[in-house]
Amino acid sequence: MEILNTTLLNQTIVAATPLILASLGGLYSERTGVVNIGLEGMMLAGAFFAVWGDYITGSPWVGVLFAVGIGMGLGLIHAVLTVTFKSDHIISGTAINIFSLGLTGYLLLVLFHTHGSTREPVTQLPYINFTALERIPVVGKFINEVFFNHTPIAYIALGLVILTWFLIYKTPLGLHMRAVGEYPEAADNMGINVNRIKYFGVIMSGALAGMAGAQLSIGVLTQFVQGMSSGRGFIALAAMIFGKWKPFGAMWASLLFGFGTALASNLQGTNVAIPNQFFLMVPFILTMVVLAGIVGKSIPPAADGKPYEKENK
Amino acid sequence: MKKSFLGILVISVLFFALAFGGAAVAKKNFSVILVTDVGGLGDKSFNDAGWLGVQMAVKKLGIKGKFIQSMQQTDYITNLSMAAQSADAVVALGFLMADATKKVAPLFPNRKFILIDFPAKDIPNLATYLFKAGQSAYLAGIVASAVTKTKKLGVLQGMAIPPVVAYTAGFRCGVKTWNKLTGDHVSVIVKTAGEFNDPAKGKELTMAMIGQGADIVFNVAGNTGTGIFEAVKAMNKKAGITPEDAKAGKRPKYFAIGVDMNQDWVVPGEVLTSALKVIPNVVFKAIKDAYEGKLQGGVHVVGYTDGASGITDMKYTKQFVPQKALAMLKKAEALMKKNAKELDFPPFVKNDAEFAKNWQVPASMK
Repeated sequence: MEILNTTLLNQTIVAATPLILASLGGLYSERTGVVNIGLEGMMLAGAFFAVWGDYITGSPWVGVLFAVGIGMGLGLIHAVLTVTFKSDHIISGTAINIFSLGLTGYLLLVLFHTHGSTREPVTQLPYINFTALERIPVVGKFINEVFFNHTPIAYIALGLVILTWFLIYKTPLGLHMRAVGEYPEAADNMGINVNRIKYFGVIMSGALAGMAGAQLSIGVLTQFVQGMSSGRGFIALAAMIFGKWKPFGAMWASLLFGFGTALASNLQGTNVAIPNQFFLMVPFILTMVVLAGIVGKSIPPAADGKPYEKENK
Repeated sequence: MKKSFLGILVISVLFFALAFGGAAVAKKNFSVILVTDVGGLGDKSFNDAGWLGVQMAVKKLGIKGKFIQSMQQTDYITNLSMAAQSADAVVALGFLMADATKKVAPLFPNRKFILIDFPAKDIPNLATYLFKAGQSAYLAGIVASAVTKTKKLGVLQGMAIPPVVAYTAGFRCGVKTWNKLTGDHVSVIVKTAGEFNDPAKGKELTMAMIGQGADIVFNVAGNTGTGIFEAVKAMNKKAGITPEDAKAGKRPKYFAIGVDMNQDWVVPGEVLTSALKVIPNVVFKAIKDAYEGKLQGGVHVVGYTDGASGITDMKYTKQFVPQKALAMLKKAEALMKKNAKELDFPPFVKNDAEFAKNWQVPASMK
């Protein structure tokens, strides 16, 4: 079948990578009890700062560092607002989203002297390629075309999924994070510094969302376009929820969504009788059907979104 | 109380950031504000072209010009009203803003409104401009059919709205003409992103079209379409042709076709040509009319004879276009110059495939 080609599978990974990173980001934050709908804005700011870092130094890796840095900065703002000042998580997250949109538009004018998008392409992240693999009969070419031809960030994302799983389930820090997300009072009584754990979670969240933005702007593309995150932060949030607040769950949900978009992109236009709006719905419907059917009910950390007030002793 | 104060602080910082985003050039008293659609400036096509028109007016007439960027479709009414409160003339860019403009214009009868890409008749202070974009796309379709080696062409639409589909329809007719006159079998794949502001999606869709055999992709997608250039560049590089090679005149394997503005410079040598919609001149003329108090409300349709349609001179790529196609272009352009009915494409098309199917290749093209 013409549709099931290597392009489709390769595109699945391309589309899923930013989602995996951002949904992992959401997971860090929500596991410590802070809802982060600011992922979208953090991703957008990350996309911009990646291009800027890349532009001024010529190195895409500096761009990635810049992106992670701005993500952490916005994460810190979110943490200060929600943890220290105990403001509403949704309001703070929305403020970050709108703020990022304004900030990137403004900086585009100040730093690049253009409106809407950067003019000159910046250096792209390298693509990892193993042409030697293609010498393996039958599967060699397939493996190289599907699983390679990606930026290193795609593999970093996979590594981070495993690392996050290990951190959350196998280390004391992970235990503390889970305790803070589920029952902060008990964690506090155990002598865990609840606020410090929450700060850690939210700042990590920003770092990952920022990296997701870098993948979009200097991994997939070589430019910044205003509003280019285009709702991916929210989709990542949904992927995390569908993935039941678990690293591998979030990854599979992101991959599924990525597959949906890639499939729709491939199917579109081959049969003019089906209106294109239908294909635009495909990824959403596919994700909902599969996840509602297979995954079942997903339960958030018990203290998710609730501010924690230390009891007066 | 502390937290709500902080929230307000964050939001006010944001508003400052947004307010400074629209830079103003101060001159005489007459002022114009351009309101962009969701595609926004920086698309190197539609919105940038409109802004260029305003800048021309600022320079030549010595008026004040500003813009407001719309982030969401729900911003249109707010932005247009805001603009109308302070500006003498408001330019609304795009089909997507039609409803909002039609609502806002009657509320400010003393202000002039200029709307691109949608017809509205009965509002005296609203002048609307429509482009025969199909003419430009028709010419581009002929060039693309002549240059393709895979005999498959792609079209990437931002949204399937009538002025965009008008391009696709014209393009299909160009391909149909080429096929009929040469006996060739070039086919067209059309994909729609559903958004004007998602270049990553634009790249994904272009890669899909290339995967399905297309070697030339026509951009009708605003900022989403910048992803086409990225995809074409990446695929050519994979085939061993770097942007430097292409610029030096080596034939790339894949081409993009630009839209609205001359986009040939974006990736020199890898953009075959651009289907033009000469918005700057039209916007400038409209502002000038408004400035001189001559602006006529109602519908204005512009095309090749008004200098509003056409394709670029293919500065980097002309050597790849066969003589036969160049001759065909000449013939078509001569017909358009005479305002021939056969090549008078409508500015609004609902269904491109159906339009092209019912469209007959004019005998005068043979």
